[in-house]
Amino acid sequence: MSSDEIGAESTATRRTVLRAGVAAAAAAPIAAGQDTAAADTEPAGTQTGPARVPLKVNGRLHEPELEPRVTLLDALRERIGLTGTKKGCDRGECGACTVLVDGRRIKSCLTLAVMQQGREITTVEGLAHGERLHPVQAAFIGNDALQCGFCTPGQVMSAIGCIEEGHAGSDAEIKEWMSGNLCRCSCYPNIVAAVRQAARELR
Amino acid sequence: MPTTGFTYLRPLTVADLIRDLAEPGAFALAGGTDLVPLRAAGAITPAVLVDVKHVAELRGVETEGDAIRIGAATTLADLGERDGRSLDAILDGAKIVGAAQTRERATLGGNLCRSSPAGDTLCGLLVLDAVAELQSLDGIRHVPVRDFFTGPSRNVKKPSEALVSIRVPVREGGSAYRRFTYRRSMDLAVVGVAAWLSIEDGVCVNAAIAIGAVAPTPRLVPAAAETLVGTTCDDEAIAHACEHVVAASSPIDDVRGTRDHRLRVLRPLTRDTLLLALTRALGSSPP
Ligand SMILES: Cc1cc2nc3c(=O)[nH]c(=O)nc-3n(C[C@H](O)[C@H](O)[C@H](O)COP(=O)(O)OP(=O)(O)OC[C@H]3O[C@@H](n4cnc5c(N)ncnc54)[C@H](O)[C@@H]3O)c2cc1C
Ligand code: FES
Ligand code: FES
Repeated sequence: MSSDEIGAESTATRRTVLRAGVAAAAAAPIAAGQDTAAADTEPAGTQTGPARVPLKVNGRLHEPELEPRVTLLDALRERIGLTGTKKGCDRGECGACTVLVDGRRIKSCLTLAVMQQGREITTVEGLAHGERLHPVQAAFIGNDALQCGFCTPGQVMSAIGCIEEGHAGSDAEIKEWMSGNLCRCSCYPNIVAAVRQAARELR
Repeated sequence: MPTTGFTYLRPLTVADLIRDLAEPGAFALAGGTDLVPLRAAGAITPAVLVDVKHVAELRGVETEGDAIRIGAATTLADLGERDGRSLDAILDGAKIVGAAQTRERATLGGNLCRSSPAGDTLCGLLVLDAVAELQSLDGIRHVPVRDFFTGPSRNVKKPSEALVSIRVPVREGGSAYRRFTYRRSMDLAVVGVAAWLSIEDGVCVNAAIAIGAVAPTPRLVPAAAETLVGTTCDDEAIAHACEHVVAASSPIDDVRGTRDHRLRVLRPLTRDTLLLALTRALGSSPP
């Protein structure tokens, strides 16, 4: 399967520009070769500032004011107020910040929010239907797969990706493909059991 | 934490990509798995980040004549799902970078341009004789990966150049990459070795061996490969090749391992990698 990002944004223009006081610019598509003049009409310099960035999270469109340097993780937690996604290391090593983007699991601390415009972002808050938990959430509770719970939202999101990809066929495979999610309470055996059970139920 | 801001650009064509990269202080941004934390730590201070992932020419894998063309922004997750024999040594590396979530974002081009001595796809690119296609407003140039690296995290690519694709010639034979790490995953190579062997009637007719994390850059060891040509890759020939590999390495002490330990690991790792490449070469040659 190719998680092709091309054409993902119907509104995509030649460039998405974020500069001081300029909303995500919508320069008309410009044919190759004749774009020098267009470049000159853009504001000179590289001053940066916040702009509205459309982010579709759990089916709802949010348009937080963001500087381009804001990671998806910080946008979710600090600008949109969805604090279910956790920040453990902020450098790609612990997996606490795992979310799904267009159904694929990624670490939200390693990606800028502006890079994810127009995509379907799913966080742990978007899993339950009212009171009914997602099967992976239920399996984590049923298997006592957490102690402090800090890593759990990332584990749950990663487990959904792992099962979806077809990488939960055996305990060994689950361990391998869940290796991007650390648990300082070391609940690993119970996490593997939860993923194994959820994988059976979801298939 | 630096507060310097930058401009984010998202070109959709190669023409716009290379124009955007010509801006002062511009950096290409692919998966961001190296660049985002490096920028946050203040190690780089880009004025412009040019997102390369939305340019069609930079995505996907195709056969073009007698080569396989890999778009520079193809993710390691997408690459890892292929089972193309001719890319084995590259795919072995692509499949073990970081964790599943890292590989969903990380790209082959990003791994090459980062040019870490421990980059897991780089030894594979070397033994399979890959060629980088670089493009800027000044034109296109093709640089063999063997001439690409100039030092730790340094290479011949100019900031204004985009890596558009990586071409790997389709050849007979089998290839493999193996690394040694202390943890099974989420760790960087302490030592890495790639090998490619072409076998005809049980005899090695062509070979390449590359080593990673034991020299300032990933590098080929032609002397080691030469000792295998004309042999059946028996124990003696492989032991001989291992000597050359050790002689060509210049490992250092760092957080991931000591020089002594690296040298000790290098020999058995080279042997294992050669045996895997040999198995694959024999499997793929006509009966
Ligand atoms: C938790 C974690 C674990 C990791 N584990 C490993 C590992 O096991 N093995 C390993 O090898 N690496 C590892 N890495 C490093 C990193 O994931 C890889 O190097 C990855 O392949 C980089 O690709 P990227 O697309 O994310 O690059 P980016 O971060 O987007 O870019 C990296 C560099 O390449 C340049 N660049 C990227 N694409 C282009 C292009 N098309 N043209 C011109 N310049 C370009 C950028 O300007 C930048 O300088 C790890 C990183 C993290 C955070
Ligand atoms: S916070 Fe993102 S991986 Fe740790
Ligand atoms: S439950 Fe505490 S870190 Fe995993």
